[in-house]
Amino acid sequence: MSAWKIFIRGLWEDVPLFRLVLGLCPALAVTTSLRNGLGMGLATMSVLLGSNFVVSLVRKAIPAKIRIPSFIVVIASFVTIVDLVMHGFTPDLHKALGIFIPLIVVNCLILGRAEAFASKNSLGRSLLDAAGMGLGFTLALCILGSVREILGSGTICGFVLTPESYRPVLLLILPPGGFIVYGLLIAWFNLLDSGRGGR
Amino acid sequence: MSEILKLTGMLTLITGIAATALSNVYMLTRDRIAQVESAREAAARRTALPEAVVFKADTTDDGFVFYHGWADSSASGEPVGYIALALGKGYSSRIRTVVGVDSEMNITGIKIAFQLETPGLGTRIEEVRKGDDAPWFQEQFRGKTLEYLEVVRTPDPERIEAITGATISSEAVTNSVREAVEKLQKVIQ
Repeated sequence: MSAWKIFIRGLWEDVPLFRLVLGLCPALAVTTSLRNGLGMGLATMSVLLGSNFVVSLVRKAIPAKIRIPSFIVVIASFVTIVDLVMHGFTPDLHKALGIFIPLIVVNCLILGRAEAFASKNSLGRSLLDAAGMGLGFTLALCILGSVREILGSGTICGFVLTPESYRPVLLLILPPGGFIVYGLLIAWFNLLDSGRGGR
Repeated sequence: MSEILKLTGMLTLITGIAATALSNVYMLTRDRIAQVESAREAAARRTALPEAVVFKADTTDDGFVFYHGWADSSASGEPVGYIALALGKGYSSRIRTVVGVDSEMNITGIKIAFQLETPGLGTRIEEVRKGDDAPWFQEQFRGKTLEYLEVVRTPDPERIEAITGATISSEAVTNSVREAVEKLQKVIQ
């Protein structure tokens, strides 16, 4: 697989949220607005880069049979260290991202990429994979967050969009609304696919 | 058998390295984090009781911590108000709120010091609307007395208007503030 292919795969063909259906729980929990979606996406991407980097480095030293618990320990420690350092040295950034960090530890996208890609590939390719998947995840969260914010609160990034007479569909920013919008978006992605001959 | 031992040893080694790294980072950042948090709390006290410039901590016999606040730096005479920490069980976190009252027990302001509520819903207890400089939910408490600390679902300047879709967080803050003021009232009067 070419380097470009590895990168671009995460953005369309294997976009984590809509194709691989990975990272669902933290994604649906926070995508009540575009800003939250972007924050969660970028925070996940930086952890993904870090974890793919470390996992790819140690992949030969770790016996295959205990790779999953080892990766979990590596990822959880990595996230906790980032959390502590940010809390002490960049308190404002930490306050803004604080709610996302505990959610990232349980994001199966991180473990999924460690297991499916970084544990079998070189450092450079693993970083490319993390960048592509991270960007794809961020874009997907932004789409989800925008739809839910515009229809559910009538705003985008806090700016009021809809006329006074529009009553926002509150359901969409509540958890069930997350599933509804997500389901419709998957359906739309599949429709786009079948229109192009499917796969 | 030897394979089990080898794998166990390997896993112990990995977790050992992780634990060492974590405890070192924790030791290195602990003081910084404590500083950040105490600076945050000091800023919260100034928001909750804007008139006061000097604060002094005090503890009752049953362990309730509160602050006296004075408007002059010499901290002489009667305090202009008091500060207490309100703890409320929200939807997904224990919400900590710094509450300020004047000597008549009118609320002079509140400031949420810690919360991990649902992003986009409960976290709106800290939401600042476009064009405002202070979070509207917390501003509702300013000037209110105990009997008006009641969550309602429609706009009502006399009461506390709940955040749509986050009634649990709204009530957690309101109830904990009421309890904190009641405790202060008992201690001071």
